[in-house]
Amino acid sequence: MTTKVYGYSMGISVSIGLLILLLQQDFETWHSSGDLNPGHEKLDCKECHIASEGTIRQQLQANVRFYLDQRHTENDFVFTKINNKHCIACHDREDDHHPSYRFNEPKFKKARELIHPELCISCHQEHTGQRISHFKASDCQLCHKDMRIEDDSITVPHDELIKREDWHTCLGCHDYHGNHEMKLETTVGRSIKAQKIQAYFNSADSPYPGKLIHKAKESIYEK
Amino acid sequence: MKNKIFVISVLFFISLSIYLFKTAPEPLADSSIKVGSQFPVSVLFRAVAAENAVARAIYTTEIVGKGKKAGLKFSEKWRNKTLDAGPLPALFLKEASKTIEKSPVPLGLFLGSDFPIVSTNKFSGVQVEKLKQIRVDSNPAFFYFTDIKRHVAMFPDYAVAEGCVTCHNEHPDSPKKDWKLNDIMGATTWLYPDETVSLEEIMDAVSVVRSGIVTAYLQYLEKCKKFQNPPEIGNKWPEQGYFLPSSEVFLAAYEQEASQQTLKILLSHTAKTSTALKDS
Repeated sequence: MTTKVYGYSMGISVSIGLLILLLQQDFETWHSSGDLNPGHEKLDCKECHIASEGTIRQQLQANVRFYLDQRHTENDFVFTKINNKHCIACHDREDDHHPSYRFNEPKFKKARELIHPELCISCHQEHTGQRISHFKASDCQLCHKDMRIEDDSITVPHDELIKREDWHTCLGCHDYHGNHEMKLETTVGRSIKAQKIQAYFNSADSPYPGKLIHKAKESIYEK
Repeated sequence: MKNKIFVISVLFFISLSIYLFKTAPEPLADSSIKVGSQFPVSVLFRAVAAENAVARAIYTTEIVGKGKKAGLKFSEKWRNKTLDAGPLPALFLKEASKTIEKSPVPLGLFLGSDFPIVSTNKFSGVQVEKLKQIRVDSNPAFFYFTDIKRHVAMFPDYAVAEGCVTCHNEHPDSPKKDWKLNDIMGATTWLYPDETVSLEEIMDAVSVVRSGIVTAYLQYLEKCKKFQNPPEIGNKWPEQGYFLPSSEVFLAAYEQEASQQTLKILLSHTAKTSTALKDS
């Protein structure tokens, strides 16, 4: 056996060995694409990465047929694509103030084009180590710029805040998903500051007062 | 060398083709292939809209309207723990729509208007145009919305009870204060992904709407049990006093009326198809 062939054989064997090792459950974190988001640190990969239907061979066959126009739909390969139902399996809430499905209505076309609020992962991209990966205070205006409240009881009325484009004040009083037992602040000056909200988006504890109304399940398999 | 690569490539593709097609196991089912008799999705929309209309009418008239006279309270802040109140009709529909959304049936339901009390329920774009047309001819509007890849239906939402009119006319945030009984106050918007549906799919959609309505009603009953002065829940209706029908009694009354409507819609479509076949 020449040195070259010996080298190739060794290289291939070590690669296959490492691949098998990496695919073992104990080493899953080694090939994770980034840190898990706050609250998700203890989750197993299989909580979100769920095996798709059929064997690898059947999936390959289905997708080749799809690209050859012999089949109407693609089949998820290896794992099912992450969708809202994966998130809702643990984060289902009775009274979510901004449920993602709400944005499927035709009138939210512009918001869908710009920020895709109809998808949980548009704001909560996983493997970023952050609670909220994409959100700008000005995104609120996509739906709330025409808001009017007749008996407005806050110190600076909502329509004035909108006129001033003080969009960062929205989350200072309102928790986007409405998941905290709290009385709404009516003094705008006392609302939670943007830096604190940003720190919460990153990974800091919640700046909103009150207990969580809905505590997420610890596993999608939990009854 | 080139020949060698060509031969290896040909052999690779032949092996792959044998692997994927010749010796491969049973192909995976294509979910988009429909089997059995097909109905246009408008039939499904008409059925679920009729089901919803019946439930809304019963809830608005028999529970909210007569309940108020019997001493029950209803509020937009009904989820507030300190408030002994139930959901207003629009919020009852919102609760039902949540259950529909969580089910495996790909049906969506929303309520909106050009003059809503809550500004985020205000229609814009194509929905404004469709509502204008609905106000002219009272017919539902059917269209396809490309970015969400959903067939859409909008059905008129009528002021079915005096309570709808007074509440909307008196609410401080209402942008319109001259609603009258039987006005088209807005529209329910329904979404579904497929152009044609089987009878089974229609039944699944009807079933999930019913489940949504019962779940919404059960949530109301649960809240009532925590009232300082809870109403008696059983066989009696608010018409008879400070009572509420149990979920079974409510469902029975609703199903009796809704089943007739749904059957009528299905048979009417079947009759039209038979006539068209005879004519051809």
